[in-house]
Amino acid sequence: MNRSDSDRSANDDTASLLDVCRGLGCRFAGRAAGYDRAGAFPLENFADLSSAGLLGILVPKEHGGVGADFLTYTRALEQLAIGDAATALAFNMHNIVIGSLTDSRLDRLEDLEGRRGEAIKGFRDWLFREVVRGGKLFATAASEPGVGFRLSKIRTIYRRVEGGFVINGVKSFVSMGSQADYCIVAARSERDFGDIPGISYLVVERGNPGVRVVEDWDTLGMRSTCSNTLHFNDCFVPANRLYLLEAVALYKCTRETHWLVGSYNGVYLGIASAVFAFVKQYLSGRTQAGTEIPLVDDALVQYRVGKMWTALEAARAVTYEAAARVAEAPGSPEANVSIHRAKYMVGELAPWIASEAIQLCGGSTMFKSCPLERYYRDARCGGVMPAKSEDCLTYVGKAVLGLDVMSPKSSYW
Amino acid sequence: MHLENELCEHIGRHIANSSAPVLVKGDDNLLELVDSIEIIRIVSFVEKKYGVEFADHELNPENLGSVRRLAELVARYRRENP
Repeated sequence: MNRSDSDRSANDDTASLLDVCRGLGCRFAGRAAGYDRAGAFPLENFADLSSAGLLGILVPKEHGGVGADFLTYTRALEQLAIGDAATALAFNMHNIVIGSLTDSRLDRLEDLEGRRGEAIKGFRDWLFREVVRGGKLFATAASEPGVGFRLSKIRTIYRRVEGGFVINGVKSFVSMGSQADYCIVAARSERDFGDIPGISYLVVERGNPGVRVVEDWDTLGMRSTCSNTLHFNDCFVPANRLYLLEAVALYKCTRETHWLVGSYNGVYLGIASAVFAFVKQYLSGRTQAGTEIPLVDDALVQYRVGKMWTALEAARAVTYEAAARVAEAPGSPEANVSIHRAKYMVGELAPWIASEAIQLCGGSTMFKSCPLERYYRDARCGGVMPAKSEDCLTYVGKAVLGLDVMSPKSSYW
Repeated sequence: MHLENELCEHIGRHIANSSAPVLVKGDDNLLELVDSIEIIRIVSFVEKKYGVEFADHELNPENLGSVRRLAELVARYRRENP
């Protein structure tokens, strides 16, 4: 296969994947209001994602997955979020775990021999097998009450014991915390590693007797992510469930920042797209109050729609550009700056465009029966998810000024 | 010093995403230089080349924080397991 054949084939694969996601998004849209109202986990949507083979969207093809790169993944997430942002956001939490592994060049492991090679390849193969063949879901538990997402400040602690590790602490905002088959828990080593705290990721299986779920997730938006609080009490984790290396998580999330910062950019872009589609449909066929004059003939309406569309397209361009940089060189300074810029833009765009849409379309859109009401609430969550808008701009500012952003010592984490 | 230089040279030649060799110094922080998979590859290379096998708990920022510290770890293992 020559280069152009290969490119064409990749383009066909991407188009097919996006078609599948678009179709799923339409299906999710029909269920979204019910799950949102009940604050219930969208089990049917995840069954659909599993049936479509999308739980392994980031797993390399040679391991049975879809093998999407970061740009394709971002676009896929956007399509799913147009239908139901909460499903897309929870789905992203599953993919963060896999993506953090797959954008390292895993082929570099193939020639590794001996115990070291077998251990890392064994962990990789186990994780991919669980996802692709087992249809298992992974959750991520990093944030904590009173600390938020700042990994360097977390208080959940682990210690080494015979055969593994023991975790004690509390995690909040754990999307799918009750439903996922495995949860990747960020915890601090009891050992002192100096300036940079030794944070590790440990894989905890559902049903572990050391885990207790508190179902306290009753929020403004993203209600069906079921991001409950998890308590870990002498929770034992076998040694082979350490995610890569010990005590290096802060280095990893500073250097390869895109999964934690910008992997859900597609979600908020999807909400903004859904808002805009709603506005266009709403305006179509409506007339100005008490007249037969189409609403779209009003210059102020045209102005507002133009402003919304321009902002949406600008954010989409910046998001895709950042995702393409990540796909090309994950962890590079350029990719990291781009992903922060994009996170800021979509994090601010989504609530702004939802607010504008309500102002433009009027009071009837504030009813629970109107999807715009849900878009507005879901959209508001973007700016406060890590990295917060303020952190994104500070990061970009530091980078533009030539200051260090690649060391954990200078990081907001 | 010889060991440290050897490691610097090897790492500089094999850094991923770099088509040309990179100048690596003894006090460069490996964890800021390369990703986790590359670290594991470096450790595997070191174990094979110098005939040592590190205990898992040794693979942490204390010993991987710089090329120099990794070289010191190798030297310690060779001393303790001649």
